[in-house]
Amino acid sequence: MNRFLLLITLLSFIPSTWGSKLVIKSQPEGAEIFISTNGKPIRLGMTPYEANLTEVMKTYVKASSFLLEIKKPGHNTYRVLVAKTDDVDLELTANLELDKAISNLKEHDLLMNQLFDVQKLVRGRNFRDALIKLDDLEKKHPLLSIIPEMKATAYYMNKEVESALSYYRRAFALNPDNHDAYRMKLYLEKKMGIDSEVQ
Amino acid sequence: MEIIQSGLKTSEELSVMMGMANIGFTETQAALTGPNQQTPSSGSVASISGMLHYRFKTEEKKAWFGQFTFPLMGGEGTYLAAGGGMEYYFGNAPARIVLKDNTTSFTLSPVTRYFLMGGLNIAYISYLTETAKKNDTLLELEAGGGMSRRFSKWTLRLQGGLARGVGVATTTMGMKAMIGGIFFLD
Repeated sequence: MNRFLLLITLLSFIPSTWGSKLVIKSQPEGAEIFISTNGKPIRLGMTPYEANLTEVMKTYVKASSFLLEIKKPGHNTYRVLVAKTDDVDLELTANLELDKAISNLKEHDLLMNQLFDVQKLVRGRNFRDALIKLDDLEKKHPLLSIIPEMKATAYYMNKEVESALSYYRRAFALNPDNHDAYRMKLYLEKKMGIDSEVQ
Repeated sequence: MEIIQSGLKTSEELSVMMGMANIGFTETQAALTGPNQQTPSSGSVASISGMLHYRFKTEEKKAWFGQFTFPLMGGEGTYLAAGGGMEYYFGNAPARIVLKDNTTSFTLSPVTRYFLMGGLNIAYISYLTETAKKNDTLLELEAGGGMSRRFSKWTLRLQGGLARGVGVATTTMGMKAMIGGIFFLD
């Protein structure tokens, strides 16, 4: 038992700073890290970052809590408020979200690629797969008129005129500036002998 | 895992340790029967033991645990114990705290912790007297303390305690000292 107590005592004398780490990572890497307490944010470094937490606390943190900010161009700033603490290892990994404008662009780019794929299927007269893909896209983007318009085109080329008209009407209803959909709607209504005003 | 704040969780811990258990026993006079054994015998059972310690619930600085002590090397006797109790941690970081969501993975791991503990065990002891090998089942009250220390790749746990046991045929007084590693279950 005496040896046990001696071991505990010896371990207690190992400096507490020995294992006290601050590890900050981000996805993507290469983001700038700022720390602030009451004043101006101070740049700590870039991710991935590793430092002695106790030293960081002593140098920068004068209040009972501190704010960590992780910034990377094209991404939303990540912020986390942490209570001042010692004798702990702090590990933080932040998944940085893309800036709204950039994420919208990426989303639109993806949508366009998918619409081109659908167009290829329609040209190859693979209407079934084209309509399945368009159904999926319509669930994700229910307010875009281009999707019902392409559905209408697929139905029209497959000689399903009634379905085609229904989707041209939907496309026009979603976007009254969609002239192609409007023209095709009028054309099919005339062809089928339907009064567009009544409809 | 226990939720202590929205999104924040304290880790459960499993410790695997080995060490020494030294249990002194004294037979009670009233339990002795037969012509060859009229004098209560006493002695001790010492063994290299293993211990599994599971810390499963943290409330501020207190934590609940269950533990199982078992012999690793056979000696002249055997000591087994299973039970549970509570630990009290000193300092501000009694447990590893984890937050994981879509944007964040945040972990606060205490480096050094000291604790006191108390618990209740059901124990089994088998021992040799001059004339026979006997065994007994005990209800044991244990108190002790220890520390844990985080290193770069693993976490050490040291604990020691005294246990007072009362059985049908014996009373015991034991000492345990264990050392091992902690697995954080998060």
